[in-house]
Amino acid sequence: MIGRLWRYWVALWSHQEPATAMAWVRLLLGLVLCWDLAEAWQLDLVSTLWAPPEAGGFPSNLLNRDPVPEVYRLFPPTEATAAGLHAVTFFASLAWALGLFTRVSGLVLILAYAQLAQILPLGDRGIDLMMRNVMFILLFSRCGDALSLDARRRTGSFFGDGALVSAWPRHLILLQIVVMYWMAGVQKTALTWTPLGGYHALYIILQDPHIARHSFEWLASVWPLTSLATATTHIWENTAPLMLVLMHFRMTDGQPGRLRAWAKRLRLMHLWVFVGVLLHLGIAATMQLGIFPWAMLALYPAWFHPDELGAAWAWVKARAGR
Amino acid sequence: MSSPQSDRVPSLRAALLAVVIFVHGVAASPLPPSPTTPKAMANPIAVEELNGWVKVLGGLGIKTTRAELTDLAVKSSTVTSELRTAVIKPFRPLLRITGTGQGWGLFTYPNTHPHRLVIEVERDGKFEVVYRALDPEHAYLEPQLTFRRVRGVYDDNASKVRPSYESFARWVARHAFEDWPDATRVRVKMIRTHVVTPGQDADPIAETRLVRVVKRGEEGP
Repeated sequence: MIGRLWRYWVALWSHQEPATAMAWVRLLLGLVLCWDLAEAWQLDLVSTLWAPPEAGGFPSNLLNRDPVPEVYRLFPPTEATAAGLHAVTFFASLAWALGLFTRVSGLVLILAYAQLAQILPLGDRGIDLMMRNVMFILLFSRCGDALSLDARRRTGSFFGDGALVSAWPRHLILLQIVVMYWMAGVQKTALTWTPLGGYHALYIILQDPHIARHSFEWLASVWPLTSLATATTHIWENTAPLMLVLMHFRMTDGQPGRLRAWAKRLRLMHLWVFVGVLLHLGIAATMQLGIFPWAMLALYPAWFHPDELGAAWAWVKARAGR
Repeated sequence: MSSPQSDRVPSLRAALLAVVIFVHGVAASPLPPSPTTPKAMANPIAVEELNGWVKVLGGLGIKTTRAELTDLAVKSSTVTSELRTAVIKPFRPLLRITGTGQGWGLFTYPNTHPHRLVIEVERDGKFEVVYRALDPEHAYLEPQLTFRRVRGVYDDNASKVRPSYESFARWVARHAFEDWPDATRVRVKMIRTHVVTPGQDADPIAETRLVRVVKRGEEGP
């Protein structure tokens, strides 16, 4: 029994596929971070966010912490150091997104990005943690084999040669996404996330002036809508583990089973992903959470096997060519 | 024919991934990273939530009090946080240097007592509002103040004040003194209100908190 389980476990992480899906995640995630860092620069917030208080920054007790962030152990606590760290993170992110020396730029990116987090933890949100987790996984992948300048240099095509690479990083990213959504759902224990509290959680969140994008006082008159959205969010997050079952069905397609056939006919996996897209677009339209919805959507290509992405791309090209 | 070495790679990879998934699984589990304190359980959001649970449990025939639930939360979180810390401790240096980890309590307890940031500038001896969150008429520094990384600083300070709130107030003052050369003082404050759910009587409470006044010359570099 244990031997069989172990063989299944080893086989599960031994699949191979083209690098396309992981490359899309790399490209989109890198660009989202570039956008975030460019916005900080454009708003003249670089030293404010990452320089020590003596240089006018928010971070407090920077040099008395245990441990002191590495960058301020190696370089003087000045505005120039903050600007340098920001620039390194930005250009590493850009290089990583474009697939230029992908592994090296990815390593520099994650180390520099982690320093930004250490310097100002309050300015580092959950989505930053999620992005670094995915970047760390991709560091061990061959995501630079497609949609990259590295691929162009090696194969003559920006799209690469379609060679098969290990699929486990994509599967691990999917597990990370499922864990994030599921744990977010499990921890929503406030009564207002449940029918006992009238599913009023989103109504309450949208009354927070620091979270809401606009004034939503008028929602009191249409509260069943926010209750519906709350229920949908809670159910959707708590059903995230089912995606692992649906992925197993997809990986073992062709095997018999009524449940499997039913899930395939109803396209449950696509339906769940589609609801996720709608939820994140809803967040983008109603809340001021910065890059959160966009960074999450940047991970969504990982839901699809590269063959599905290839088919979608061929479909788009055919439609455009008509 | 595959070599013994190439046969070992998938097994080694699978074993390593099992360890990674176990450690991150513990980190991601809803075990609190640090014990809950009675003080934390006394904040208005927690009190409202506990009162709700006392009522719900009472309806199910389980008689309890807010104090008992607080005690249970403090004791259980102490045990579970110790377990979590023990598992993660050996990996902490790697997690720190890479900035990776788990922790997905997103809007766990919707804030029924949200704050509204207000910034005022004193000119000719009178304070005038220049910024009020979500007020398009008073939108001074709005792009900066609504940027997610800046919002994280003042919004998180509203629930637990840290030294960065002083740095934030001085930063606001520096900008205001530059833009209003005749301004003598800048006041940063938070107005805490109470959100009630639809159908309940509105609570008109508007408590002014975390007031910081910065005089010209005190704003720092």
